[in-house]
Amino acid sequence: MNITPRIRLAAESAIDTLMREIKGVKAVVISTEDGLELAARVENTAQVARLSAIASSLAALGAVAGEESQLGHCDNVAIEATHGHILMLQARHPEMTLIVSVVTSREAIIGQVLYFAKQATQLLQHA
Amino acid sequence: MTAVNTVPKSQRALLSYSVEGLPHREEVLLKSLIRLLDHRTHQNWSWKAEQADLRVVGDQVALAAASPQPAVPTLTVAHADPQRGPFLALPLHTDALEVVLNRLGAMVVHARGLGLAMTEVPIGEHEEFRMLRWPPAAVLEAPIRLRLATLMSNRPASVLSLQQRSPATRQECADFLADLQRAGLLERAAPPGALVAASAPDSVFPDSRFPAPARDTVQPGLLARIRNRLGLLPSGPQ
Amino acid sequence: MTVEHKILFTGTMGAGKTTAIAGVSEIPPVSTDVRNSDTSVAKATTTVGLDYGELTLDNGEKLRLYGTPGQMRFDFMWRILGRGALGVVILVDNSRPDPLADLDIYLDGFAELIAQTACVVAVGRMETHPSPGIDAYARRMEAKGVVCPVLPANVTDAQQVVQLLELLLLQLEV
Repeated sequence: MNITPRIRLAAESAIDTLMREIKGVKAVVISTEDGLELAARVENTAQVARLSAIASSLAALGAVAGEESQLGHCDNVAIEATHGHILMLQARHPEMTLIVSVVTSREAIIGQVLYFAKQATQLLQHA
Repeated sequence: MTAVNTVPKSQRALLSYSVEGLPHREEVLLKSLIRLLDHRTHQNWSWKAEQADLRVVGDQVALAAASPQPAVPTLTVAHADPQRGPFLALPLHTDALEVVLNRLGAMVVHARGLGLAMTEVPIGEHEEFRMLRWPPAAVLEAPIRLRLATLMSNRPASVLSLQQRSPATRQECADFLADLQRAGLLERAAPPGALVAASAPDSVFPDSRFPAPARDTVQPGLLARIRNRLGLLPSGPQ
Repeated sequence: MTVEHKILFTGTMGAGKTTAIAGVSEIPPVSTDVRNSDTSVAKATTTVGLDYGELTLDNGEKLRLYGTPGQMRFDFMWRILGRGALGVVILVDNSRPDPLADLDIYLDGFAELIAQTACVVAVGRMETHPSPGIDAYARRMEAKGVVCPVLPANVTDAQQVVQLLELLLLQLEV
């Protein structure tokens, strides 16, 4: 992987922010669009062992769904599970597209998660 | 196999040779030359440790007075001809080697036809066999054999069942199984209801050669429809 | 579990899964290719979800062709896509450093599907990279308890892809 230091720093910074700002956050993972983990902060590493790969597949399938329905680019994929949520957003930096995955418990407020996650994604895109 | 007709390529006989009593250097050279000549010889020759169709020997090797397999030719390779049968002079030359292999090969094939060659266990029409491994290219020279080998991939077959499931003739099916047997790739299949043999002791993986857990049968007619859509000829006898 | 009409194509990045499906599919294949960030492989894009192509049969039903991602980190996709498949075509690239080890990954990853249905192994780039030879593949598969057709194939030629599918179908005939 050829990740410039600037992007790497930006990714770490984004993770710091999200872990700090989001109530109920359990993990934040930033990965390449082909499923390789770039940076992560987690309560328990076992949780996210394959999240990068899974997120890249879901993002890609989301893109297909968006195109097939003629709705344009897929910006994020949201999963609501029994014990929490996973939100996966695409950060389209000119050098490479990254995927930001945020895992939260049920107590997180989706609106808040979306807000901060989108903000972090914007910053990443302009790193 | 597809809708386009191709000229059928016939299967060369698969013969084996053993080597005894030759200096190591000559033995290595002989084996290399035979491999190199494979595209020119009338039969396909592969080395076997013993009980081969042709014995290649040095002049110090005494020929058995009463050979257990009377129709197995012996070729002496030496500097001087000991006048005791087929002979090839050292140093080895590819042209001379090719000529003698074709001549002796024809003899072996003829003897096989007369039932006099290396003792083999005859294959009954109904006997079911398993193919142990995907066969080498030499065994699959004729296009029909690609089909026959595929049919044997995941289930046992007999001469008759192969004939029923393919456009091959009974003889083609029998010859195929005989060649598999000669190559050591055939194993008798356990009769239905018998205990399934254990797979290789270290193997952790499901053995696809043995009956798999019951699976859904493919919807009737589906395979025919797919063949039709892909422009393939129907399977089975034609 | 009902049997869907689907056939899988799998294999390493660059082995030709997307190409193979494109050659046979009646629709332009749907693909989920993204930029490849693995600098050890000289390929610009890689499949992260699936490739999808289809053929319509004469009774209106569809035969679906799915290409899986090749890397092991996507083996959850192998499981998902493998459910109910008629069989799997494993594409191997003989120009890679250890193609037999590559084959092992897919023989293991699809072991159950292979045991229950059908499999064909197609080895690409053998004209320029003749080693390992077909017999080496056959022996490797034998060691894993798998006996199935293995042959050289150039999947840029649609007719050869059709032949691979035919060998798959032959194994499914009752």
